[in-house]
Amino acid sequence: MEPNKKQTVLIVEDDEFLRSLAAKRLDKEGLGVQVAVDGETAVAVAKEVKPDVIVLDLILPGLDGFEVLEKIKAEESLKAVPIIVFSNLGQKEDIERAQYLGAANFLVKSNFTLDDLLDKVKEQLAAIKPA
Amino acid sequence: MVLLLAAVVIIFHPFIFLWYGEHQKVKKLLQIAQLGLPQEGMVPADEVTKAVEAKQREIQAKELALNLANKRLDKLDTAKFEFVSVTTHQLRTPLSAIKWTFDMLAKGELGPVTDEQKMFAQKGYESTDRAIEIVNELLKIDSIQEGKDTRANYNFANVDLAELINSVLFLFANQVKARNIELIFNKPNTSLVAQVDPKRLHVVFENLLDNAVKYTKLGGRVTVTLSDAKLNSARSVAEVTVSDTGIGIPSGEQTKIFQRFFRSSNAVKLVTDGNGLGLAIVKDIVDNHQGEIWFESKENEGTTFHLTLPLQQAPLQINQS
Repeated sequence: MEPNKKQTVLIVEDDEFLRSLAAKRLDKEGLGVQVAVDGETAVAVAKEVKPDVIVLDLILPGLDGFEVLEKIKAEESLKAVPIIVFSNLGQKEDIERAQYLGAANFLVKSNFTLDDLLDKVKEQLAAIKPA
Repeated sequence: MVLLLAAVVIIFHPFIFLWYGEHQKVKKLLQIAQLGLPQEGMVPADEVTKAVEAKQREIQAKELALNLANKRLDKLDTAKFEFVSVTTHQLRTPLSAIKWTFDMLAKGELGPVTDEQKMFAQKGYESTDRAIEIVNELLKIDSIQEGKDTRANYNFANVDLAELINSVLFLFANQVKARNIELIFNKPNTSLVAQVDPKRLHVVFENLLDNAVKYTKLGGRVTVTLSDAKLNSARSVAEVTVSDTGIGIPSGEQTKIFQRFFRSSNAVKLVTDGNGLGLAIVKDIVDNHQGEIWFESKENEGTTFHLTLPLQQAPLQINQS
């Protein structure tokens, strides 16, 4: 990995306040942060900026998080990007479905703090093999 | 001409009726001649038919009304499910926001804070976390109630029942003290080990105790009794009773007590929040343990729930005969 290139995290979250808090926390850690407020934007931004990690909410206006997962995993240039699902859904079926669709991790928002999220993001970044 | 005819009819109508009546009598006599006399006490066939038809219409009307009521209840049920799941999911979002903010404040991630400010932020964080736990519990109830929780998901293990009950009683220590309720646990001298799903059985006793404590007035008494008296019957079962001196269940509402979302009228008056799911879940779990649950209750005197739990889970669907 190039040490001086900022690693980028795409946060997909429709709640404005949650989004800005999460962005603030990751930005503070020196990560490049991109945001998307809905599914369509998320896919478009992902294609454009090629983030290193995606933090994805599931309940989104328009395309929902599951559909975003599918679209990104179907995209050759994006399918290797680890996706951390960060949602307030958290029933067994939701988790299994996200896993099946290729999510790297699943965190129920209310059960974690942003520091926990940061840890998981770092975990995924560390696991990325240098291209 | 027409007028004349009308006048004749009007003037002579009593006679016309008489004549018609006679005509009917003659007809009936002819019928009797053909079919024989109706037996004593027997209602003429046409009246029977009429009565049957009327009854049928009545039944049809009732059926229609019942169907409608049932449909409405089904809708209500679905609406309540949706309500539970939507509110819980949607509650989690603002709760997350508050939790994260307090957390970042407490850790100084939003700028320097004094020790006192840090302490307050920390308390705010803890309170929010408690609220989140409650929401999580509701979601658990929700998923159990959506029928996703079947016996196949159960994890049976050999558990000391007294220990399990004690761990539940421990949860109520503060509540009981605050309400000045006497909490008694009677258990046999020897330990009773049964094959149960400890997590779910925990929910059973939690719900029963919660009701007992919640609906018992200050200074009342709640007694939990674990008994091995039924060990020597054909099938070894442990019996547990949870008895309170609470508000009781009105006799007219007792048949509904295990129904989902049902709350007795006096319970609603006393404790406004409550989802009416507790006992439905209890029944479901006890059934899945091949146990039985029943109760007796008198309004304003108290309620006693009895439940039996087999010590061994029999393999399912074995026909004894």
